Amino acid sequence: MEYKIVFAGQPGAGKTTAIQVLSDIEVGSTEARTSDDLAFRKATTTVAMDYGVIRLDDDCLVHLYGTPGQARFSFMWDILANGAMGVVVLIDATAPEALQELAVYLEAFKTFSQKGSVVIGLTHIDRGGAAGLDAFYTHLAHHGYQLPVMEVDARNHKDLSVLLLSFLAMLQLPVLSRQ
Amino acid sequence: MTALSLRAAIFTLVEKELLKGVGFRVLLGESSHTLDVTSEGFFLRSNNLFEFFSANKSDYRVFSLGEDAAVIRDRSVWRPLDELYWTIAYVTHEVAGLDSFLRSDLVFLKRWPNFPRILHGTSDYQIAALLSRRKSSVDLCARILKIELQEVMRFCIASKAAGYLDQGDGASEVVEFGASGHDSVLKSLFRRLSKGVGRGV
Repeated sequence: MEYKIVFAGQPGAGKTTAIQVLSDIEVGSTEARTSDDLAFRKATTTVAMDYGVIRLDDDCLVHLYGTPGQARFSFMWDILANGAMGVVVLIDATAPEALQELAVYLEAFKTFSQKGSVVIGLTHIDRGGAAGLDAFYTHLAHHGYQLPVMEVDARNHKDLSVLLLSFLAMLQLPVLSRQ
Repeated sequence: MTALSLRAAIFTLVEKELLKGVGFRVLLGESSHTLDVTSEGFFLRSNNLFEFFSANKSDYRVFSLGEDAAVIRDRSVWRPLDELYWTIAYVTHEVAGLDSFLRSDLVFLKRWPNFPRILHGTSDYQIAALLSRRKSSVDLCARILKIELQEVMRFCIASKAAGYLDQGDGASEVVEFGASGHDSVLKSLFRRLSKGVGRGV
């Protein structure tokens, strides 16, 4: 059996890094040199997808797909999200437009957002000047969402594991509730 | 004073000292172990919080901090005060004197605890998921999730202390849950990821 989790978020939020940290295989990336304003923030960016795998004991594969962050590649978002268990949205909390970015991804993955199959990780907190968790929860409540928001370091396996455990708990809820 | 005094005292200290608009420092014994709290609502500890929790009254001193200390220069090391409240309440949930819950009390989680940065257990993910989705009694939550009532109590006490939880009246909300279709793989992945996650604070 094979399953899929999608990682979404703006360029530079840490999607590629997160998949590299979590994956049991070498990550396949479609990185290209940045050629626009983004070049000031990072040298390369994902143009199609990142791909990694978590291999479970019973030969199950959980595929990890990272979407390209730039809006002009958003046609890939639906393709990658098709059949996914849910979406991990990574937001660079230091970006001035962080809340607006979050709104973009919640809307783009509305099917998942509305049924609670989305978890939000705030990255780059260590750089300072980041929006706090309260601002994100206020934003979510205003839009009628009850989703987990947590600070994570995309380079840290433990942080990502905790984020994914919260995500899985949301997905498991129907299973647990029927027992 | 019992060994639990400093834990309980921190709540009082925060309330009392921050009302004055200045921060304070708790210094443990002759050591250099400190717990700083700023008037902006952040804290910084120099070592493991458990050393503070086991201190007697004679083991610590409290100083007011000047204006300079209130400046938070490195956001990555200062943590929001709600995480300190969570940790104290999570560790001391069994201690009489802290706000407690009846089995029938209805609760609703307004926001998730920031789990990557605080002490927590594996069952707390499931409790948070359920209580963020529906208003429920403490007792019903434990029964639905098939976990110990004490674990739900601990979560609720810590969440309430941190300001994440609402208590309400009325009946538990009835929510229709469908099958996820991913039952076994979710449990398998949950087990795999749980192995690498400790409870450290």
